[in-house]
Amino acid sequence: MTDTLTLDGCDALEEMTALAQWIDTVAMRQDLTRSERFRLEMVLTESVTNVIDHAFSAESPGQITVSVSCSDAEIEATVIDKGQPFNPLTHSIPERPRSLEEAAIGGAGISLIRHFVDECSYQRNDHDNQLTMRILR
Amino acid sequence: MTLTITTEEMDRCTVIKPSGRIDSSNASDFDLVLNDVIDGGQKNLVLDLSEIDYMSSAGIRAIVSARKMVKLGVFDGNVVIAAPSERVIDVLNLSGMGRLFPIETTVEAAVADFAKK
Repeated sequence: MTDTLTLDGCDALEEMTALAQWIDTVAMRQDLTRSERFRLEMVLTESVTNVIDHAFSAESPGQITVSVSCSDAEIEATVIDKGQPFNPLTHSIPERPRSLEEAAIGGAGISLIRHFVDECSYQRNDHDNQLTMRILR
Repeated sequence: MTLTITTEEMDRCTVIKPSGRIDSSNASDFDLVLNDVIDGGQKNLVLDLSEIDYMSSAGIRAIVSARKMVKLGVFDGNVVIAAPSERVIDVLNLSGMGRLFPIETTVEAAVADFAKK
């Protein structure tokens, strides 16, 4: 069973609210555990935020499609957008800062995505960015 | 996204208590409250996270930014995190920021950290 949500990318507040409510619904419908729900919410929140921040500009937002399908073995979450090419997996994970001076403000999202998924892949299909994330159950 | 933030002035610090979720849709509100308190002259902050049930990297960004403001340069303030959930501790640690912050299990202990100085 696949659940799909389409966001218009115009207003971060509305998008994140809609996403959180949708994840609640998906978690209930797909009977996710608390841990699975948390991991799914974390990776979708961070990846949709990345799309809004990097694939689109504030002046020209665009559509984002999020889908989740579950089997006994895994949860597969996909984020597709028509923004400019943006592959979050090519962005290096910031090293853990040893001091406050070294700590970067930002950049933690990709670290969190990589931690909470078991597999992650990126494809550029014509005009679409597609990020596929798998969480093994 | 539902986020309410209260502040309480103590003798030696200000306790800031966000409740709800912090993500990219509302982290700027959290940031504004933190900046207002710091701009008002308070350099000792306790962040009571006992009622935060979800925090994304956007929340981490706001907290790191606040700690840099009060800790670096001419100031000698601090930001102490109080009563975070296990999930929030996970997010702090996984982002590499956990060890940069003093973390207390209760607000009282966090406030007491400043009284010791």
